[in-house]
Amino acid sequence: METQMTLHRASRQNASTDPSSTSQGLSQIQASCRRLADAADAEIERALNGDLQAEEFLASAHQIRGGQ
Amino acid sequence: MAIFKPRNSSPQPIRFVEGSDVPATHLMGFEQEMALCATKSSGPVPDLEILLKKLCEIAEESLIHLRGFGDSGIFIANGGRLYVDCLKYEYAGPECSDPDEMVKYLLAGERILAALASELARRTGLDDAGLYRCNVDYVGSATWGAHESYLTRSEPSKLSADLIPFLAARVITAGAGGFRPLTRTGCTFTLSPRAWHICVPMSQSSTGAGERGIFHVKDETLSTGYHRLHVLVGDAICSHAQNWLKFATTSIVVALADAGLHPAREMALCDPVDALREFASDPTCKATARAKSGRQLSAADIQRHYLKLARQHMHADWMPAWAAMAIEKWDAMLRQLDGAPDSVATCLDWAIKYRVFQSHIEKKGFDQKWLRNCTHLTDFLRCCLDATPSAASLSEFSPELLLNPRGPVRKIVSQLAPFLPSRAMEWGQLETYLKLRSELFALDFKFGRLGEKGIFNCLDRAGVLDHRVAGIDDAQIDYAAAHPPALGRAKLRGEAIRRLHKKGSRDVSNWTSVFDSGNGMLLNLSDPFIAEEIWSKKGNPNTACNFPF
Repeated sequence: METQMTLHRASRQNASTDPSSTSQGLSQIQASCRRLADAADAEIERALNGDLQAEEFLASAHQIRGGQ
Repeated sequence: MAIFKPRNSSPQPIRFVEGSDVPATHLMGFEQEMALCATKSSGPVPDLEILLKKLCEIAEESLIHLRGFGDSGIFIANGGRLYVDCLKYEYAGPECSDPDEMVKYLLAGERILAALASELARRTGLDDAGLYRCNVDYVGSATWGAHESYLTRSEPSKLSADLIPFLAARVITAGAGGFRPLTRTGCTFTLSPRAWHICVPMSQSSTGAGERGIFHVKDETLSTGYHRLHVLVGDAICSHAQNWLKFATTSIVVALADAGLHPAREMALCDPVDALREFASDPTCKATARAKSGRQLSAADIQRHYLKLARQHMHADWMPAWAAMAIEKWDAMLRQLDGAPDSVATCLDWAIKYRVFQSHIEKKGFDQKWLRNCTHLTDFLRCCLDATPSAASLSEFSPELLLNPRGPVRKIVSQLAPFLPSRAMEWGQLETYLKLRSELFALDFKFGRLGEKGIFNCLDRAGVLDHRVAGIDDAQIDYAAAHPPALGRAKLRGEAIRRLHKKGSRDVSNWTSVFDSGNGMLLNLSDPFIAEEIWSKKGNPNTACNFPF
């Protein structure tokens, strides 16, 4: 689902209603961060459980790039 | 007021300042370097050079294109260019006239490249092949650039003082996030890993280690009558909104400088490189740097100074038509950054990564403070190893080596042991730290992978990000993959490429011309705003001289 760009929304708000300057805004930010963290957990799990361990991935990626 | 000078029936006429040939339309472009990585379970992965060559072959087979003159890759139907440089695959977008277009053509290129990488894996029997917007290599010292170009009337060298403070300060709005590179043991978050590859305020070089500058004085105009400011202090970023803001704000600041306003008069920094790194080190965006005026300035202070000037001149006839809208968005973002990092955690790459890394660190039972302590400890041990003659040549940095009762740093290890508990540390965690460090680096590397496997793209699909630019949709991106922008020479280049490609001849292109070998005709594109195809008779550029255009 396409969301509206943060900047578009923020630009319609004046300084006094900046999300981070009100308690409602703060709780919205916290809720967004929690949703992001939850989704990140699943993605981290997937990203780190590939064929290669993290260290092996970094080493192989480095090697294939020719180690410039 | 600016007036419109439609030179032909172009749908969006180019704006010119009244009574002059100074364009109010601001052309800009970008180049993005990417790392190609591949895995194969059965047998060795072919050399990078072989894979890149194969990738180029696939691009030539599958895309409408003309060969670049010499050995310079291919120019494709959207007016952009694909090529290999220093073992890095690069996409240079066509010249664009507004930030919407820049984002569209950036995303279009990334879509093309993701498809090419998938096809490479399929054809070469690899388990996986991907292109990564990774910015830095955490194992070695390689770095991948995301460069920008802005058309100016002034010689770039005359704009350096006006732009350096802005380019240092824009890291809080344009940083990709990651970890400080070029460290063998540390794990310190930064708003921009590339900032540590920028070592001098100004440079001629864009590639040499220790030589890259905040301001690039190169003036390869690639046009007649204009100059091209080449910006190399920048990261490859995924957020559409962040890319939009990066292109828009930089273009506006370049316009202020190009108009002779000297926007940085009160903002000159004592040590711009140090300031860049200070700003890049603080996710709250409150870090300050000393200005020559004696004031301590935060990155937001510096940006607000430019913003104020931009607002004062937003209706000037040399300002782009989209300036007023961009200024509002810029202002909003600076206010939003007051609550950084959380307030921008779903829209700026560095802040998204900060939250992702934080999540992983906490899941492992640690926090940033512990990571910082481990960084200090391991950096210190690495220095001790380097200072120990018998161990200085050891590249390995393992718990086995460090904790070996007969190892080279055994005395230091035993002397430090009593101090660790007060910092919630113990020697047994050394291995855990090094593993976590590798995982965080790998996450950063995989964050910007093109295509559906990239972490950023996965989070986007999960609907937890807020980074889209209203009005830029999938259909427009697909269109931009195959068609050039609506105005300027990129339009003519793209149209000529599409027409000539059908002939399958030895026609060639570069940024300033297209050569039709069949008819011996040359399309001169040295005027960036040219709106009409004017062909003239020429010899074959491949045989006539080294540089025919």
